[in-house]
Amino acid sequence: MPSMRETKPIRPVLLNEVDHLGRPIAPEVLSVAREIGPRAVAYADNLIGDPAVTVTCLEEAAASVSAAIAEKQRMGAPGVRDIGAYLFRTFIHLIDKAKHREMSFEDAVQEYGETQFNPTEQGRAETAVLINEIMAVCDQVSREIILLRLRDQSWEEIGRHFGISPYAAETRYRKALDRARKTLRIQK
Amino acid sequence: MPGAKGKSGARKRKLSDKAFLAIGNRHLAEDFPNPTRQGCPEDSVLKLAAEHPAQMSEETLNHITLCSPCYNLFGDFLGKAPVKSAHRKPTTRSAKASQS
Repeated sequence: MPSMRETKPIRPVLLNEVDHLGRPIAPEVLSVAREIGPRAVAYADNLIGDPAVTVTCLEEAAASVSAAIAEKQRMGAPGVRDIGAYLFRTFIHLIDKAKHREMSFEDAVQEYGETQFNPTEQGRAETAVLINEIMAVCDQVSREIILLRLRDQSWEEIGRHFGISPYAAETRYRKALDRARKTLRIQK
Repeated sequence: MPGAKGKSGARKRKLSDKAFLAIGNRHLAEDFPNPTRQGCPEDSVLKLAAEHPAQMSEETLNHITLCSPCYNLFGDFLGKAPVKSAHRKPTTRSAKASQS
């Protein structure tokens, strides 16, 4: 990246080669997890404030990603382009789940009230899974088109950005979604 | 996402496009907090990415989708950025008239 903001010094994170469920973490995933560990744990500490839980979540995420990569290889599905990003998203998803488990009764009641007008937890989880898959398997242009669409850009605007027709932009978007959905079905 | 599970026994329906966009936008805008802005690019990089999305680097794209503050800032810039044609300028009637 051309120029970065100043970052605070962060402590290294010690990770086991298996998660708390006894599932192994592949060496390449463990290496990436150790690399992104300090930043990821610093992120999550602000959310749930318990370093032990965050490290456990990181190990669980690393084991899940190891299993997913092995499954993709076995099924001949497209590989994961950026293990770091894939791992980070999985980790954030687990942190989100841990955060909800620790909600107080009052928080739970308030959130229940909000869900009357907002998407369900299942809808959110499905979308998070789908976006993670798109970011892992789709090409850069398709990911950019999806990003612009998520920010409410019209097909005409997206088409102009990429020098293609609105129809071509929409087709590319649909193909990317279908591809990610197909990969998820293969994994299941 | 590996490790993610839906509710057991619930019949799964394909998310509608509108729901996917609404929930996806909220997911990227809220679920990746970065209060200390660790590893964030300068605002000018995000502004440039919003003005010329087709020329965005992969690194910037990956960061925007993993950092809610940058995603929101990118969205703000996108709202203000004029949409420029990547290849050719649209021909208007007045432009045609002036050419002839």
